[in-house]
Amino acid sequence: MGANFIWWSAIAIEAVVLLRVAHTKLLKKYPLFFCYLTCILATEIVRLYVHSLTPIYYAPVYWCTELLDAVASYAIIVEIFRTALRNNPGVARLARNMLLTIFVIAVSYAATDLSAGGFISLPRATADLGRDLRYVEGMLLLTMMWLFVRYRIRLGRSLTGITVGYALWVGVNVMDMAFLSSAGHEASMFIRQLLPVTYLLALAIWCVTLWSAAPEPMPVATNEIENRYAIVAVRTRAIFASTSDRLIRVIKP
Amino acid sequence: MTSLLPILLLGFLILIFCVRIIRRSVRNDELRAVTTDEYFRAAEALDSWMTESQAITRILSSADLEFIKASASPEIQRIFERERKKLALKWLRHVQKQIASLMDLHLRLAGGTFDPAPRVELELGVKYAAFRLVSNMVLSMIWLRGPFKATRIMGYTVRKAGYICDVFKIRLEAAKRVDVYPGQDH
Repeated sequence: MGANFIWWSAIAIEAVVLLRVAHTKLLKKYPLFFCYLTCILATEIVRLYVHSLTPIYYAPVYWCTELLDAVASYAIIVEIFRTALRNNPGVARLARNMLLTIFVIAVSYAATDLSAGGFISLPRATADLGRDLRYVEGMLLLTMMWLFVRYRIRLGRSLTGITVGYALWVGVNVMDMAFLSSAGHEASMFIRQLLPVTYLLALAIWCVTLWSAAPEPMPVATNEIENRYAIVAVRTRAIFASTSDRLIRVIKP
Repeated sequence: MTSLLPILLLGFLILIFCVRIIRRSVRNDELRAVTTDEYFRAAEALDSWMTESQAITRILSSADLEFIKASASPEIQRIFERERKKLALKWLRHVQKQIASLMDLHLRLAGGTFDPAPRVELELGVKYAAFRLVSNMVLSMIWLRGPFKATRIMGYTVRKAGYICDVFKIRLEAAKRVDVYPGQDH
């Protein structure tokens, strides 16, 4: 009963978010997010349909759609990266290099891990691949969030909502995936139960922050400081010149 | 269980950063634009840093202590050491604050320009972390053993802070050449 309630609630909130995104013209700003959520909504409906009509096929359908979800969620990474760093070309360059390096390392590690495990069954291989994709996604997201915090990147209300909701979901999902391999652990049960609630919370965050279009953060170029760089630099050079003179006078006998 | 730890740590860190992003968007103070006043203050801080570091090295040199030891009573010696300790602690805390605000300014500026160069950023990050660690060690050392016992490690701290100031100087210089046009690349 509880599971069904969460399932239906998720489908309802996803539909509301999609409608609001389309209605408030945020669709133009976040097209990849829209595609991701549409994909999730479609998989939820397919799962619900299979679960109620042909429960015997639910497990394979679940793992295949889970893999599809994991692949589709990379669209959000691209969306956050693209939108957040649009006005920060330096950080974007740094982030691109860092994310590419991490992606290559993580994918190589995951591929080695998968090939070492051998092929047991299709659902198992799909589940393993889905888990590894989530780990890589977690690493990319963590790197990006670290860069946002370090370089004080201004995200704006909508993008903050997308990032926070997504990070919450990925963070708990990664922990859940880790515990899946050691089933029976007490924490595993707790996180497993927490997962649907976290997803609903993420959807609620998206719903609130994407309800209406918020103003975009101003690009740094329009700041007062940018217009007065030359004055400041000249003044700084003068300060250093006078300090050097004083030091030379002190040092000279 | 040991193999789970890195993954759990990854999930945990994501949640921590999630909280940080929420906090800063609520407080909004970390995200404010750099003002000309801040820039002038930073330039003045750099100016005073060079002279202050020379002065503090002189104040904490053992020559004064030896002179006092040779010519004054134990009571005067105690007062002298107490005063110098106070001065050293105050100065070090001031430097920590100043470097932290310079770093903050540098990062806010770097976020909006065509910098940062990964190598410089990495080096600066490591040096800043080393400065924070060593300056806190020096603080506790001065607190426990007095300023004259910590002279060597104090020199190291001064050098680290000097490096960060140098990088910031380059940043100020580079700022003049910056032409930011949103959405365009060089």
